[in-house]
Amino acid sequence: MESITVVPSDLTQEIVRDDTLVIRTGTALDNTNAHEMVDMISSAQNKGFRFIVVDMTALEFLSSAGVGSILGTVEISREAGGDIILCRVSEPIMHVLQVLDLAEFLTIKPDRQQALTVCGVTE
Amino acid sequence: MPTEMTSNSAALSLPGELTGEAIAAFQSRLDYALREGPDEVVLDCSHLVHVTSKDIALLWQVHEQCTSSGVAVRLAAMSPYLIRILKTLDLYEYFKQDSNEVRSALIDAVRPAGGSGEESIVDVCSATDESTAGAMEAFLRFLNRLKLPQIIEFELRTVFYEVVTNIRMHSGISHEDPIAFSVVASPALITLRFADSGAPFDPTEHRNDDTLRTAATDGRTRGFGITMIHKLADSVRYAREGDEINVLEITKGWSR
Repeated sequence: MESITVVPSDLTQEIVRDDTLVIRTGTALDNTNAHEMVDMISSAQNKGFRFIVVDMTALEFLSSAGVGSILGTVEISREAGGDIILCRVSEPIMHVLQVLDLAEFLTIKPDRQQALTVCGVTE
Repeated sequence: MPTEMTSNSAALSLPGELTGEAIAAFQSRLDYALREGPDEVVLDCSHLVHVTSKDIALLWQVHEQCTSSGVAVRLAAMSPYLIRILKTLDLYEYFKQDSNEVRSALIDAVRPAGGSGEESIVDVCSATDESTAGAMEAFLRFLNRLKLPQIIEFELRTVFYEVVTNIRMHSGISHEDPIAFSVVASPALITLRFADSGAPFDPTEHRNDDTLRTAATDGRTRGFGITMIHKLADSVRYAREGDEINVLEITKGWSR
């Protein structure tokens, strides 16, 4: 682990390798902060982070804007040979992703370690 | 149509039919009221059933006359239709509004019939962050009392959020405008109703199940709210009441 950066929102980011970033969400990812999520992911992609792990441990609410912040950015990571991987997704949020038919489309892992394994990182 | 004076305001009714005689009588009452030096003139618009260009011209004439006398004009008993026309013509902001009338109309539009064995709430919020957050809290407290399965509660919370957000962001209402909602819980069904005075919008015509997957390839990050509502709800119905109010009814089945 190199550093932890706290940005002025409830989203935090942690660089775990030169091409892998972990973003931890706050309790909600909705209209109030989805644009920050998009900015954070896009900025990381522009800096060469192919893999982005979104740790949803604290997430209690995911709106369509929150879904969109991940859905609208995932292809850029995949085209670069990486991915956006979700982990620690609660049962209700997983249910919503299933209802939206996105549970198979998005890469979702039960915990951080398994998510980082997808990125080729071992802690 | 009488003119009522209080210490600082004069109340006049706009004529329902603008004949030359009616306009002359109204003008006479307005002139009399302004000579008394009120702080504001309150115009009762309840007779404006069909709003014509003549009505708008009269409203503007009253505004100009009052303004030149240093008197504010407040419109009372405005229909959502009148509000929309004034907004379309960029005239709405020139008048003080009596939002209680619109508020009542919206509440009436969502008010449940009251069946046996049902629990319900009716509430209204304005389109500000704080007010809609308060409405969400009231909604969640109601759901909490029902002891719904966690997944159903989460789905309803999401639907509520998406509907209110859609109204706030896309209906054209201002932050001060009201949004009314009701929730009715019967033993097997939750029914949500929302009413607003914004531009007509039928979400049942905008369902697109392909939106989510194509969004990924298009790199699109917004515009999934309606699809999400359709996916999470059992039914979505829309009605435009009196060409004035959007009423959205959403149902979700449930069992303990």
